[in-house]
Amino acid sequence: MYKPADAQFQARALRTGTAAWALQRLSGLFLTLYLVIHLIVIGTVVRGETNFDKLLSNFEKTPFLILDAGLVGIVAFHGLNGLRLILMDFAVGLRFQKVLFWLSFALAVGVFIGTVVAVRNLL
Amino acid sequence: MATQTTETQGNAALPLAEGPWQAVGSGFWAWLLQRVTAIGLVVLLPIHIVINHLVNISKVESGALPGLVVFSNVAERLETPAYWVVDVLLLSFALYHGLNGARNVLMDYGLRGTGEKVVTTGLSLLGAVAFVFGIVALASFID
Amino acid sequence: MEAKIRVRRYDPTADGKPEYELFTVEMPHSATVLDTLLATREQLDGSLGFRCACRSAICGSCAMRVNGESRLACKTKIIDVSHGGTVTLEPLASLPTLKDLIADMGPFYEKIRAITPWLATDPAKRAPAREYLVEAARSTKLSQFAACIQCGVCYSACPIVAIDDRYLGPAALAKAYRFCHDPRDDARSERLSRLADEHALWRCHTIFSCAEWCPKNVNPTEAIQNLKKLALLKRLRLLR
Repeated sequence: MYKPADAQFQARALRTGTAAWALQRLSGLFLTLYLVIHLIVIGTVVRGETNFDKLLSNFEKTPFLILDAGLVGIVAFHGLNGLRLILMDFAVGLRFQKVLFWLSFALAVGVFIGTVVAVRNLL
Repeated sequence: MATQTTETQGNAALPLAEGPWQAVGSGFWAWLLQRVTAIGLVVLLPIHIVINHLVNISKVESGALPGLVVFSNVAERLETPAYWVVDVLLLSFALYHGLNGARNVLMDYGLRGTGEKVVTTGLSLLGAVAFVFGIVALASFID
Repeated sequence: MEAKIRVRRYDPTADGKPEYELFTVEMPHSATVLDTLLATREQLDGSLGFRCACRSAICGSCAMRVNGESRLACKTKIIDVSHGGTVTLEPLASLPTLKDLIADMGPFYEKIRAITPWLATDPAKRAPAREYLVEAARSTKLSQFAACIQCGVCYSACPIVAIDDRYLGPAALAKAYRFCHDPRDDARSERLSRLADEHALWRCHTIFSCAEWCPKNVNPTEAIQNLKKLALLKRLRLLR
């Protein structure tokens, strides 16, 4: 069976469809991992109010705020591209699949920038 | 004159193809729930991010709150039942969507048969444990 | 013009590993990849293995990977893909290689057979005095999916086929839709029950590679999404 290592990327040129699929997967797996970490971090509340507040104050430093904005951007991309996929699944707007992908991407970048702007005074 | 039947598709037991490649028909609910939870998350996640972080920005800027996420603030919010509903729904939808998504990625790479059963059971257990853990954490804010 | 092709050679009788061999042959400006292969076989290496028949994009025999992209060799001009350099030719992906550029289409055909690619008509239900009538709009739609020449380009282009060998693939599923959408077929319910399967409909993630590369504009993606809609309606008991 002829199955090269890059079997899943059949066309050497990365196309919109394969890029969208790959990014959706990667962002999804990342977000699932983040969810587990998030539950663990918030779960430290069982150790009491002071410990919780102390731990979380660490995450309000500038580098973490930027990372958090990035996270919100990734959530926005995954969600918007996901909505595009749901539309496609029901054969709505198949013709516009590329435009909708770029729109999702652009809006996600916009959300990232918007979040950074919203917390600019806390950086 | 021939009568034309166009829309009635009867359920006839007609000989269909058999063989090793035959699909059997499974995974409908997983597919549908992935999309249902997706729509739920598109609504609930922005709410979660806004009420936990963004509404607090001005309070932190003015000094009314020491940080975006502090125990007292979360505890106060969780006194209202509506926020509990949001959080529990969010927890269950996010866990289902994320873990089912991971399962789907594995199935794309050809996971099936016994391996699929093992992975599905494992991820379901992980989801159940994480859900209980999440509820315990939420409850700790108002104890 | 000088056409340079880099061909993946593989001889199953010679115990060797696949190797790439470079050929340079003088071709007219409008030459296709297939023209170049025929000239190479005639002038340089008579053992070069590849399939061809019609040379006019209707038989589907010459499907192969050109610079990694699944296409018909007879429909691909060298100047469109060479960009001044070498054109890499490989057999269709996700299928075993018989020799050089010849892929074993066996699994591809088996998957098409698996979806019952024939009309399942219940004689008790219909016995028209003359012909079965299909309205024009429906017929036009069906002809889009019946235009499939079973070349395997979509199958080779699909990333899911590449990583899940149980996935039925775009050609089989598009053909399944062709029959589900045919008013003369009486087995739609069974077909949908079988197709609503983890390694059939639910493996399609609307990547669109099949639709982009199909040389006959069949658009399997559209067929598969329509099948998903039908499967959903049936499951929710909203399908007549």
